[in-house]
Amino acid sequence: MTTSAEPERIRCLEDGPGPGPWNMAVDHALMDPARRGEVTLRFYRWDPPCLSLGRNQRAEGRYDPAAAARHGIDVVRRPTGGRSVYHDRELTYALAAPADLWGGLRTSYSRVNDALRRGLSRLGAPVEVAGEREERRAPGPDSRACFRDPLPGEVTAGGRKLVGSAQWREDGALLQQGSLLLADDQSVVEELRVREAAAVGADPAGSAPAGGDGGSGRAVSAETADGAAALEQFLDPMPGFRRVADALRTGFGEEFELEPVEGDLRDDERRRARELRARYEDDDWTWRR
Amino acid sequence: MSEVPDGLRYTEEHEYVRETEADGEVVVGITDFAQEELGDVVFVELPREGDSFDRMEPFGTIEAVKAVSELYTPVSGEVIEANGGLEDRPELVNEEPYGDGWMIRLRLDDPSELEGLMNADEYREHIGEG
Repeated sequence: MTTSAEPERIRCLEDGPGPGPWNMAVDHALMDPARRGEVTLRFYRWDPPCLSLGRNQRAEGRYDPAAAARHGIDVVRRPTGGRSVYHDRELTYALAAPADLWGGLRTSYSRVNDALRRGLSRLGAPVEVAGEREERRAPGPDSRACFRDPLPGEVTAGGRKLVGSAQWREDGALLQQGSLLLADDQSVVEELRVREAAAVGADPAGSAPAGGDGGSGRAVSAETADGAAALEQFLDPMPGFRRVADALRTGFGEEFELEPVEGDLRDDERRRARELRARYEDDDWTWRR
Repeated sequence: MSEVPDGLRYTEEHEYVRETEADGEVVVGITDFAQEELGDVVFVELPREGDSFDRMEPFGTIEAVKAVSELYTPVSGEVIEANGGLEDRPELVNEEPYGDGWMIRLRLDDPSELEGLMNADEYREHIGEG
């Protein structure tokens, strides 16, 4: 697929909090302008909180939709791969671009992580990019929460994963989605697993909070809390969503040498997102494996 | 340097086609260059036997650590076998892309389509290793 002239700008979108299927549909819809040569960077949040599954992750019989519903948590399946992520107090980014604008998969993935690192460094966060590790295969999509293991190239702080990212490449466009945890709520991923559903169901607020989780009333399991890093653990005072987004926008602009320009979702993209929303609301997609 | 065996045909999207002893049947997989670029392959979604595809139509997806990518049929045809071994051992794509890591066996609709694909020298050039 050939694209038009090399882009000079990144169109930046910032959405208010939205439900999981809508968020996935908007990200998906951004693949169309990417095929026409445009680069779009979107920052967003989630309301209600949402468990997102990786595209090929086995979820049927492993996660409990009834427990999620009791907690008021959406469940959605992403177009990108990887493992489950619980989205609550986080900043989510989506970058859509022509697939070969920055070279192949490895280069584009690594440069997005460099852009994130640049942006987070501006806030004073002690971020690094995880190096190659000893010979061991990456975990498959059926294993557990995304934030348990930093993989080579991912953005870490204090040796733990701070941003989980995954890319989808189709028909000349790429979409990379990622979650930057502002606070660590990832223990919820474990609570929604089927084997623990009975305990969760018995107490809709979860078991007694063990780690002061900021009032969401959910238990913090030491096992998962050890796996993820959250920005609030490294910054005092903790900047707000807008300030974090501004810093990341600057980081992307610097890394890709593109001018960040604020924009809005266009009418045709909004229409496309409304069509795609049905797919991401469909249980046949969410629970397809 | 990636391994690019002579005698195979290649696409710009990094699939290969290997002709088999059976007339009009080919094996399709992804190249050594592609598996290196993807990194550890963790899941491969393949079509069912009897499914038919046009040339360069998506026939499945491959998930590696960093990305999910579409897989494209280099030539049109009917799937006569999908490599079930990849369900339990997707890592075969990394270990033996031209061997046990193959993906589908196709019955060609039009054998002349093979001539439109790159040979090994052209593919080496395409990936900058010519």
